[in-house]
Amino acid sequence: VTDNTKPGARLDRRSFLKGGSVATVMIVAGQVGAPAAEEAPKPAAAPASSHPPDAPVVRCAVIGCGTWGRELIHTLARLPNAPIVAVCDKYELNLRRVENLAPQARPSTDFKTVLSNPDVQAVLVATPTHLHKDVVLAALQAGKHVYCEAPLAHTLEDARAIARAAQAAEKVHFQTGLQWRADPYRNFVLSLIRSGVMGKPIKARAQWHKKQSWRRTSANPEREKELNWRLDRATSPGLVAEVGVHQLDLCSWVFNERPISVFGSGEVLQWNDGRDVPDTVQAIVEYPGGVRLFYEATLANSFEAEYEVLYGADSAVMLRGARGWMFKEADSPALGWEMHAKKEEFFQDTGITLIANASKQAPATDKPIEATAPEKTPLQAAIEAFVANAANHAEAVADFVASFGEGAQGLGEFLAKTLKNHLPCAGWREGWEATVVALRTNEAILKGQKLLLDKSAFEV
Amino acid sequence: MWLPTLSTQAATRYNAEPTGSEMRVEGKSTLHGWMVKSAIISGWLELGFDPAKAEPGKVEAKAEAAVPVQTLKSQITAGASTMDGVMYKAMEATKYRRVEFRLKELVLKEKPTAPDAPLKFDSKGDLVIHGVTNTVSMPVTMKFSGDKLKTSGTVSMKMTEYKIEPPSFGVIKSADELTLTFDWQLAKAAAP
Repeated sequence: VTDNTKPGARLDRRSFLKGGSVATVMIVAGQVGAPAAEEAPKPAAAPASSHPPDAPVVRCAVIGCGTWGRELIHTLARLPNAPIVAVCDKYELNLRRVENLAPQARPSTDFKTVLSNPDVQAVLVATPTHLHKDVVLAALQAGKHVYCEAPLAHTLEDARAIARAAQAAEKVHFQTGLQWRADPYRNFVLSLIRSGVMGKPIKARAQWHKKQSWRRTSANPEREKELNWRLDRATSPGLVAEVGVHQLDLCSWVFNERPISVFGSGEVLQWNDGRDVPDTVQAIVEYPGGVRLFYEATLANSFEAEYEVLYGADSAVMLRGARGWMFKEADSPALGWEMHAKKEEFFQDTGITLIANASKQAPATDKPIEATAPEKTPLQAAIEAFVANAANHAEAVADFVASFGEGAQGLGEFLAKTLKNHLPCAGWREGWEATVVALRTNEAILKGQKLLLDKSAFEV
Repeated sequence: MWLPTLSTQAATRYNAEPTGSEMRVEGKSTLHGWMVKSAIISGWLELGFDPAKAEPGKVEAKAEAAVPVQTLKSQITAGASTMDGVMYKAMEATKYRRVEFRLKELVLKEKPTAPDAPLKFDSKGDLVIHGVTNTVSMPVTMKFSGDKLKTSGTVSMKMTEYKIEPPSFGVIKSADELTLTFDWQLAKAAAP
């Protein structure tokens, strides 16, 4: 988990410039947060891994081989040091679908078989959200590193159980599938914002718009019911948690604050097929100091797809997928580097294209700096971080045990110091807090009420 | 590896504590200074003298300490794991997994000026890095606090003395000279 995720870790301009002089932050790509949604990004779009060839090997299993699980398999398959040794899905057809993607993997319909396999060091859990808990708890109990998709669970009780177990499992690496936290591009934009270019935070706006039903069909009625877990309140955390969790988390991450209240409303406006999960929702997430995020998601209209805009008194920053722009106010201080930056017109506004390292490169060229081809998707960055961090974690534990013996006190303290160099990612705490915000917002939407979130709401 | 215990009846053994220790390695490069840190120093120390009554001169002591190489971590805000990888490769960390020190000689420099003041010594011992053993001399201090003992010291060395090629990162090249500093936390071993 990167340091800049921690409360109080605000970066000033000096730290940002210093960090920028060390890092070779590259331009990277990322599909905008449609995680766990029906149409996962096309695997062919993802470029090859830049992972070092001599990186330590972590043998992986994927549990849940639906659309998103197959995307995880595609991504793992690009890593030379993450062989997929097992795949699991209780629906056998899904196992046949991944035969070609992971030919060396042992297929199983029972996750307990996977977890009892000593060859498996790490598991990636991509089952439907309401089925995460049993798999994750058993995986941690079995001493496996765990990558659990976001949100952690469909209820606070399940999410808390997962967070507690992950916190207690000192000897393994736990990562939440909030892939933007691992995305080098978003980490670059975060540093830029924390350096003060936006000025005083004012508000944020984010949306996820798609014209699709979310309904799945199957010849088998029982299977069809399983497939449509997103349409039933008993199993679905709703649009705001299934897709919005990433966007809500981004705002909390950038503002470096926990929300203090959530309010929302939602309706079934388009897909009136018996579902009780709204297909159109609006929410207001309030941060300290009167800063609010206005969030909208719908399955009834695709206009402007998905984006996030963060507004400050000096400028607004818009993120759309792998790209970002800054819109400066006329009275905001000059930064210098923006003079050389590539600009794009948005109706009556001019966006300054945000390119990693542009501020460093500016003096060396008179030409506007162009955005280059994406290097890796946020998912690739997250999976690479998972594999590298799991290997580092295991090595650190082995070093500690070899030095002081099994069961010696102080492992947690040692890991806290040693694992500061983890590649950026979302750990259990980020996953838990993002899940709390998303689930409570979904609750506010279903109740049409404002719900207060005090400090105790985030206690594990 | 484990040396025999001291012959004297008064020998007191201290074992490394899992927490409270730190080893820092600092160097320079053509661009800027750098530092790596580890929070693990394992091993033990045996003292064949009473620290409260010790007189200046050679004292009886033995010690072995070790730091796993891959627990040494860069202290920079970005790119740390890349830099660590460069360092581990230069040190062949998968082959030579530990930095080790074996104490051979300890000389008390002066009587402590106050009861709580740390004892000051000159030490001599074998430092093993990258599979190469060199005898080094370094000043060390020992501070006793109840059953706890913290011993600290610093020594300068060169990478090439240990057959390590100073690593490069693009056009940036590390200087050969290093400074190794440690704070080693130990606790009196329970009576057998």
